[in-house]
Amino acid sequence: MSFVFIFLAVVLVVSALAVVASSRLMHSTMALICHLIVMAGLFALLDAEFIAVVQLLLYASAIIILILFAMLLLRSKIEAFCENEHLFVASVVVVGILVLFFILPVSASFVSEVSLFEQHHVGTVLSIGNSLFSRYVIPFQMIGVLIIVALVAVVMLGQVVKSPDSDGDGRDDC
Amino acid sequence: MVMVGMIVSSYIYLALIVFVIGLVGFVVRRNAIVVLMCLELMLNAVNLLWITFARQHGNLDGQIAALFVMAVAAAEVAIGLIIIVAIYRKKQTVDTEQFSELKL
Repeated sequence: MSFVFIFLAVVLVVSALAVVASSRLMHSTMALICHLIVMAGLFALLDAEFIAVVQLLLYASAIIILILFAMLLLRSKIEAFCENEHLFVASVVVVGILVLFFILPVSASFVSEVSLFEQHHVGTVLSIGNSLFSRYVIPFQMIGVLIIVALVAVVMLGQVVKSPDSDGDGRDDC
Repeated sequence: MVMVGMIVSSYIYLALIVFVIGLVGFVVRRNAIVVLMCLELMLNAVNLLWITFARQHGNLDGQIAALFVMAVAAAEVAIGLIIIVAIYRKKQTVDTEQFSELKL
């Protein structure tokens, strides 16, 4: 179990670095797929099988397909990781200060050496469904409303507005 | 012998590392789609924390919260990508340095 965790953790961090540091968009997307699948493996390791399956269905397929379709529509140039060295150094310093002085002290209060595997196994689909449709039924419905609103907004934003001064649908440069 | 894969803190530090990588990428990268992907990295790190704590305390609320985070993230990606496509139609670029109309 420990070796599985170490393997998954190393692949997770390396693929996250590849998402951030790749100069080509396609390589970033492939690294993101790897990252999401490995994250699903970690969820399964934490006995959350249903969340792992949803991660594979929703993130590693649906969201990746959306990103790939957007990449089809757009043309982005190959860019270096960071053209502005000062911005990179400044952001690393700021994030480092944030982590050292704000996040680490807070997270240190959560850190415990408790073994995860003393607890009961709770993550079955049946218990998640029971909880989702009894105690969390209002937030569940609200998520449905949110997704409807988001889809309507996507349709509205995706329409090409015909105005005399706009230069068409952006496909004249292909 | 400490079993690394079985204690809570190893998962917490892993999620922290991935979140920080996503945060640096969010600030540094200029391609708008990569910025959106870095947002996904950060949301995934938070999901890992939710599920770790759900496993630690032996109840399901963390997993339900992770499900809700995933649903909101799906809506957010759809909206974000269509906004990028709309801006690309207008400006023919996805470089976030060029998106400066709202700057004071």
